[in-house]
Amino acid sequence: MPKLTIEDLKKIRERAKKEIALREGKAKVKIIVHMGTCGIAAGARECLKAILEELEKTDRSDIVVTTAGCIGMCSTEPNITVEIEGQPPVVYQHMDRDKAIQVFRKHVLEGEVLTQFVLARSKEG
Amino acid sequence: MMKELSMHILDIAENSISAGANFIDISIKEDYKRDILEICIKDNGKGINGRILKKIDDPFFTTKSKKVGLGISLLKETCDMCDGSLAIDSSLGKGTLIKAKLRLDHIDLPPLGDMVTTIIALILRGNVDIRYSHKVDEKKFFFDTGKIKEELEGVPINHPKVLNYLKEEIEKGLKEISAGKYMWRDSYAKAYNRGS
Ligand SMILES: Nc1ncnc2c1ncn2[C@@H]1O[C@H](COP(=O)(O)OP(=O)(O)O)[C@@H](O)[C@H]1O
Ligand SMILES: [Mg+2]
Repeated sequence: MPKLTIEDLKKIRERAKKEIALREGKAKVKIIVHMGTCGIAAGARECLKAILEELEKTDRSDIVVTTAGCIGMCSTEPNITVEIEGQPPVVYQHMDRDKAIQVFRKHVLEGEVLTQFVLARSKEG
Repeated sequence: MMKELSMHILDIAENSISAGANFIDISIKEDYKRDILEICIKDNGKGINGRILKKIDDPFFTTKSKKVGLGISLLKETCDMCDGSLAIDSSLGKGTLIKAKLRLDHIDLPPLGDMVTTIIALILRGNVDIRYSHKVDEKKFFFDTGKIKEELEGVPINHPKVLNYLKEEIEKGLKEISAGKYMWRDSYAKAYNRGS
């Protein structure tokens, strides 16, 4: 693959501006990868990498990925939270590269909660 | 416990964000002539008060609502193990500088690892600017999200296509200066041991 240049960044910028103007709403899906000490040591960063690679394969610009601090449950790390508009957030536990990819493909793209990996469903917000 | 130095860096920079910093300066210097690897993480967060500073490298100390604070003590352990040192310089209301020094050719020195995803993870934290400079002897790489945001004219830096661009930029830059090359020595050593 040819390497990207500053000109490419400008192209990306112009394309993104049009997209944003069309969409003019907020993101529909938010994926939060928690980055506490225990999470990082247990592979949270690799989960993030996998999710970004999956996102790159889709053309969805209504999905945002963010990182956040630790949720305070070291023994369940790495944790990932998925928030889909209009639905209560779902927190996943003991994530790794493979499980993170499954969460992305099944839950984020198809709306199917992977109950076997769920830590807890927080109260409706 | 941290497999890579870049994981320590992410973790230490996470402290900065918890301390309210909106600017983090990460600087790595690989000085092969002096055999020193120096990692500095500087922030403009709220600073560490004296009472905390005294106990900070105790693994059982944390000000957060959990049982142990590990991040800084883990990094100190890694530094000690590699004939190095960890220094903390903090002033209240101004910010904190964490400076780790390690011996480059120490057999226990962990690999630098995935600095690209470490930087991306910090960018994805949101309201924080990241400056990252990396020197390998005379060769230098420099990256600054402030400059990139200017170029983006309001397009969010966490846009998937922008992230992909940044990822490639950092990857390319680090490759050009052969960042983390001290691990070549390690893979040579392993290959040699296997062979003999
Ligand atoms: N950059 C920083 N700015 C302000 N306070 C900090 C910073 N880094 C560490 N601290 C303080 O030192 C404590 C110990 O840090 P650390 O060893 O990483 O454990 P933890 O983050 O789990 O509490 C933190 O709880 C925080 O109060
Ligand atoms: Mg910490």
